[in-house]
Amino acid sequence: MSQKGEDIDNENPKVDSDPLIDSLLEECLGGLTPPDLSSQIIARLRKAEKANEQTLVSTRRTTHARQYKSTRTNRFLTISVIVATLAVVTSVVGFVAWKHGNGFALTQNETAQVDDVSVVDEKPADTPTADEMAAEVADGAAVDPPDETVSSESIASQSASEPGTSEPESFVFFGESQYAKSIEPSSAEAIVNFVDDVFQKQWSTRQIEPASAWPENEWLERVYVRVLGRSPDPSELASFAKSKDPNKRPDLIRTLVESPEYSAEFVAHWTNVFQTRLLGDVASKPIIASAVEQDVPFPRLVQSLVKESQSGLVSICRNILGERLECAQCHDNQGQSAERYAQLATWLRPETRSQFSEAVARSDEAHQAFVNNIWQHFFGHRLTPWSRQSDSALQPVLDRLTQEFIAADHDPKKLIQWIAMTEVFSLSAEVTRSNETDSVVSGEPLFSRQYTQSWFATSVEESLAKVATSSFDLMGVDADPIETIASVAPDFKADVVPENDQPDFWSTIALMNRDAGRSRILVDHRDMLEHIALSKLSRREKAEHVILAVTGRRPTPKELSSAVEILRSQASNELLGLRDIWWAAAMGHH
Amino acid sequence: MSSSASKTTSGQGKPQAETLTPEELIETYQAGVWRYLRSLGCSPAEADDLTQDTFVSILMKPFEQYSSAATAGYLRRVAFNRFISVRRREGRVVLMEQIQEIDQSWTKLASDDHGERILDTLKTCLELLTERSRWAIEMRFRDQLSRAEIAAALEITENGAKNLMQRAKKQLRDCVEGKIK
Repeated sequence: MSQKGEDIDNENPKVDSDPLIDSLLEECLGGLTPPDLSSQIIARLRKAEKANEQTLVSTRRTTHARQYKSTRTNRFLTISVIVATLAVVTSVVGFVAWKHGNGFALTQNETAQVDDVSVVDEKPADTPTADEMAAEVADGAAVDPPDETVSSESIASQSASEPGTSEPESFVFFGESQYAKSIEPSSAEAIVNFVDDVFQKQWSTRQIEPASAWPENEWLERVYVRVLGRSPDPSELASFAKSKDPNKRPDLIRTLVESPEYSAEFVAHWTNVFQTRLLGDVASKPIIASAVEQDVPFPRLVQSLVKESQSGLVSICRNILGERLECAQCHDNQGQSAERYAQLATWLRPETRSQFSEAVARSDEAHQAFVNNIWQHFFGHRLTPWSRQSDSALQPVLDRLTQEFIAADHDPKKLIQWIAMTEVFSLSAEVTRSNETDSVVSGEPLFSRQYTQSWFATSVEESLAKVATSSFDLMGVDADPIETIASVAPDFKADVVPENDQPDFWSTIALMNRDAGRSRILVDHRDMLEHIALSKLSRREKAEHVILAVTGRRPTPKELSSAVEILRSQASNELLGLRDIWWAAAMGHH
Repeated sequence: MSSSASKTTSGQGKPQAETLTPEELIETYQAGVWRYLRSLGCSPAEADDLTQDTFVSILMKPFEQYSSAATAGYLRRVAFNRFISVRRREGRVVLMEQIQEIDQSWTKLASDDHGERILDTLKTCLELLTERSRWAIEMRFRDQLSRAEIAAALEITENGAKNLMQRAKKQLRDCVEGKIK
């Protein structure tokens, strides 16, 4: 890559450049075609062979000299060895005789340990794999090229024609399952009570007073947003408020998750959640969409994702196994083991990926990670830290939910319902003196209150679409909104959908300014926005008015500054700017 | 060193091994290895060096080929490991996940013919870009202009130029992947 080219892409190499496309474009347009290196390679090869020969010759000479020298000492050594051997044999015989005299037999436990399948990291057969040979070659050793039994393509074709091949012994690095013993599924009430009890005990032990519960309409909104991805519409609000049924909350949750009436919304929302949030770059849209729609069993889903995803080991570990190994690629760091990384990496090759995916799908780690991911969706943070062996106080909750999830035939709808039904989920975001020590910063959140979460941008969009009675397009300008925003915000990244559900102000606006979003204007607020736009207030005051109207609070200095910039950039159509501010504020409100 | 190619029959059902001369091996596979190393992020000079290293490592003993795909895969693996070793020796940060993704993309898109097809496909996809996007890409890669110069030529901001090129490259990637699948 040319120096100038490097300057262009060096700002954020990971995000900004596509080395594959860049190199091809440089060849295509820049004329950087592959050179003919034959003569250089042959010359280097000759030199290396010559160096090798000289090394061999000098090694032989040294060996001869050493052999001569060693002959004289050999005689002495031979006699010494014989004497030492006799001494060792005598000791062993003596020991055995003594032990026999004391009842030399395995105890029951020792027998059990010997018979038990121990957790041993075994390497596959002695035949070196292509990777191992390649690694040796990279370090300068001359090795035999791979024979047909380990060529990647032939093995890949063999494994493709042998589906369901039983797991080789070497996949025991996931350990024996602690959930192997099947249980009868418990009732939802029993599971929810267990979860709430564990939290109560933890709060009580640490003298934390949980926040008060959300008022009913706030609880309702929270459930709708997390389960369906949108706010309840006025009729749903009214219907719920009117009901005096003491079981209306669990009944509502059950309805949202399982009734055909909400099925389409449920599938669309959770497909989005899995793709954009829970599974990261391991997610494959066709696999996820099909799995959510057709209730594909969890192990099969995981197996498909691992097998067919193009993601690397770090992504699979983080998103499927709930394990962080970013640092372990190079070294051990805070529980991340380089050895474990190396072990797992050997099984991610194309020829063994299928078997690896089966083992992952059956592992406890994958099940626990799934439960942790669903929990994180509801609460904004994982139930337990990133770790293979967690000693978190909330581990019993994770264990119970995982066990019940497996007992319920891996039905994620059940898991979603249990979590939504807990009292923990109904707590407000109220921070008090008695719960302020419970924070995510501490590294072990105890969920004694709701932690700050933002909506998905798409959730806001869906909510607006649901309540709008009509829509119209305020855009009367030809300017590309992306370029308009880019000219104002120096750090803006176009076409980058926020990776988490906490996008910045500018990304939110960019998302809302997509063609689909432009026409979805909340008519009810148009009068207010028009009134503000036509007033004699300064830009600052107008921005402040809108944010106050949406959030019920004054804007922070940063919000105000960003909002004023928006109005400045939309000087020719201030109503549009006020609309953007309204949306951005509405998104940050929850 | 040079010897005529020989075929070895090795038992029932096993593929026949073929001994290639070094010249044959280099002639057939060097372009693919070089392009592969460039896609990992090597400069042309680095790719030259590592390509030579890769072949020298393998050719210290007579090389037997069972299939061209297996040979190409093996060469890429050796080149990959060499690349990682060199980067680490130089103390440079290696983003393993990104490198592995590129490796997988190359295997999927370009491994069959050493990259010829993906190049042709890229040329076709370039024609499908909008005029502005294609200009930006040509100014960047053909004319070696800086971002400021490209932005000035297109009468947009530098950030706008950066975003335009990012989008264009993404479109090219999607187009290439779509056509080759």
